[in-house]
Amino acid sequence: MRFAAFIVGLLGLGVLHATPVVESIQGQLVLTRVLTRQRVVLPEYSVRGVTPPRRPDTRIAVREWDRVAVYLEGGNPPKAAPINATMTQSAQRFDPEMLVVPVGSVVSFPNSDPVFHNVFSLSRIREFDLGYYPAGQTRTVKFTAPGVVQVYCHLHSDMSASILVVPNGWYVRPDENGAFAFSAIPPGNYQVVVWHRSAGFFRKPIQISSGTTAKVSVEIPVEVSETGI
Amino acid sequence: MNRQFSFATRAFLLAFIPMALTLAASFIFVSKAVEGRIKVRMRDSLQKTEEEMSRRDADYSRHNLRALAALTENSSLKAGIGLLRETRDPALQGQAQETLASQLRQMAESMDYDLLLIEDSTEKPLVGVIGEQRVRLIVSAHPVEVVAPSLIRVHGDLYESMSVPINLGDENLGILTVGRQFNVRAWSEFGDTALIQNGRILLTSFPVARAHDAELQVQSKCKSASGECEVEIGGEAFLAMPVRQETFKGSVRLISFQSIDAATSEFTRSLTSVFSLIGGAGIVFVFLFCTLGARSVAKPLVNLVAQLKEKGSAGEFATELKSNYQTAEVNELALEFTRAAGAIRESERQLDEATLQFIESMAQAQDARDPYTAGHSERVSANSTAVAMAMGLGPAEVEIIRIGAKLHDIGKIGIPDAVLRKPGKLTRDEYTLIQRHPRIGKEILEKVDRFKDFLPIVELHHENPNGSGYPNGLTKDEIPLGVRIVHVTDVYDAITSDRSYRKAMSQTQAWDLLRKGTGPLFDPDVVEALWAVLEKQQFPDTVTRIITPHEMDLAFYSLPTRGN
Repeated sequence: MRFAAFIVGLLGLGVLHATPVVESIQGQLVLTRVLTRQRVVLPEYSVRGVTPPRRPDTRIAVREWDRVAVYLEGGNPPKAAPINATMTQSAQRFDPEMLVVPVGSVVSFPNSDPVFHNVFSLSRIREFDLGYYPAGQTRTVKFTAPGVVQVYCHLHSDMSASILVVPNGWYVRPDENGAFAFSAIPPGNYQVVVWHRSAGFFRKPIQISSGTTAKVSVEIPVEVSETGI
Repeated sequence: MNRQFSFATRAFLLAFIPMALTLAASFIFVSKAVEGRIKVRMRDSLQKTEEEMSRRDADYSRHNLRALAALTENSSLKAGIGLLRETRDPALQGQAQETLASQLRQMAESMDYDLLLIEDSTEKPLVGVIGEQRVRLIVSAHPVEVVAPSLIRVHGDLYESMSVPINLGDENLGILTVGRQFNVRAWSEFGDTALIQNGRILLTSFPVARAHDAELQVQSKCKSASGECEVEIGGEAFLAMPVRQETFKGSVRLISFQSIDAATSEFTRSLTSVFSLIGGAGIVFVFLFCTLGARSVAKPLVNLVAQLKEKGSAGEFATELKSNYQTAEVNELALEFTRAAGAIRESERQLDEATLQFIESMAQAQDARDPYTAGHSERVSANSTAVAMAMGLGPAEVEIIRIGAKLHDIGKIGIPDAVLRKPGKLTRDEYTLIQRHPRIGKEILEKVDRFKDFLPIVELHHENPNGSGYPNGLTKDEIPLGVRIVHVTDVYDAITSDRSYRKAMSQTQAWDLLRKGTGPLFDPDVVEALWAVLEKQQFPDTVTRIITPHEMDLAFYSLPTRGN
């Protein structure tokens, strides 16, 4: 489903920028350090009386690029068409665990598990609590303001997902190498905004000249001033 | 000079002092040994306690950690952390922190912790609550200082802490740390405790006055991090032992101080009373035993000495000492002494006899100076003895009279021959010279103590009952009977013997003379007795010896004859 959403996003981009425009952005993200601290577990107690050192749980490899999204701010961005996205609860996880949707989109949370779930969020831009509902049912939430929404389940404390609500249609997710690209961007000054699920927002200014392809490399975390959304 | 003790005292002291010392030494030794045992036992028990405590500690920690880990599986808490993470606006961040703090407070309600703290995955403190009132901790102002693996310092206070990770899905969100304020007294159930970091006391249950002492002692004596050591704090001996070493390690040691003195006194109090009882009873027993023993050992000797003293005070040598004591040596001593005393007495007797014989010889020699007086003293002695016996005097008195009579004229040694043997009448001066002989005799004999009994006879044999005699002019009552006897027999012998200046009187004449003088000059009883004696002898002209002097001596001393 994650890939489906991604494809939907790309299709949307393609539709929006059907007019031939030569200007584009070729970007590369570089992670200067691991942003997501891996899950750690309590070790088995063979040593008595010792507070166990925390160590990473090596069973799950966190894929950093799956936790990153990029969008542009500034200029005169095209209004994004709201979409309908789905975040399924399956095997006591959210699937996908990260969604990027434009403002006004509606996300449905179908329960495909044989147990109840209770999806909720404390996030300021859209606080909600969908209550308990069983398998087969679904609840929907419309996101009308840009920002980050962290989604949890009251019943299963390990379930979590993030929804990034972006203000315009210029948003992409990097490939497995951290590369990303924007096409048909009018010349002007922009900010490349990189959001990482654990590390938050990183911004980098970029200038696009007429008829060129701007190249940008963003090291995250970057030494730039971060401001709240 | 050496100090003198009685035999019994010496025996007592020699027996009692070593026994008392032995008792005291064994008492001290036993109590030392007991103290040592107690110390070892205490150390063992401490070590066992420490092991048990460590095991329980570990168990407790493990269960607590599990419980705590379960507590972090709380989606609200995780959502709160997520909220704080996504809130970048400083104005709103306070709110987000308060939201999380209120969740921690809720958690604290159900658990007994003094500190709850959430740090992010980089161990940067996010939010915490502290104290009874669950005040939100301003984490930026009070960094968390890790003192030991399970000991942190926040806000200036030490907390025993425990940390568990907070995971969300595949990601680690941070750490939840809970802590209880470290209470050093909680670990001092049976002693004092001190938490020490690099030799400095962080916390201690010792009073302030002793804390510094404890610090110095631990620095100097407890070099080894894990081993126990003995320290002396405020004059009290303590066994210092690191406890909960798994929890407190690295630069931090939790040391438990057990008072050895207190533990020892606890154990030895009962023992001491028992020992004191046994020791006291032992001393009393030993005392009695020694006293009685010493007395019993000394008794024969003491009795022997008492016998000797008794005889000694009576002025004689003990020649008949009892020798039936139960101590062989004392019996031998008594026998030897008896033998020696007998020998001495025999020697004395021989000496006396020799002296007497010498003096008698002198007296005889004196008599022999004048042919007319030869045999005079012997005759006077014989007659006096007979008279004394006739008058019923005791043998001792008779003997004194017999010998005294032999010596009565010894003083004439000092009278020149010219006067003594002068034929014809004496001048007044010559007569005065003659009259000096009793005094001279007395002066000769009084030099020998042995002859003091004879002195009255020698000195006074010319005294008359009417006081007309010489040298003192005593009257009848002042003149002893023995002297009066010798006086009469002397005159009788003198007048019945020839003299250079006259012929001997006949017996009849002599009796006339005596009778005339009876009363003023002669004792009537004595004269009567002499008459009876002479009558009985049937030999009026020749006075012979009736009893030999030798036989008389034997009678006097009532001793067996030498050589028999």
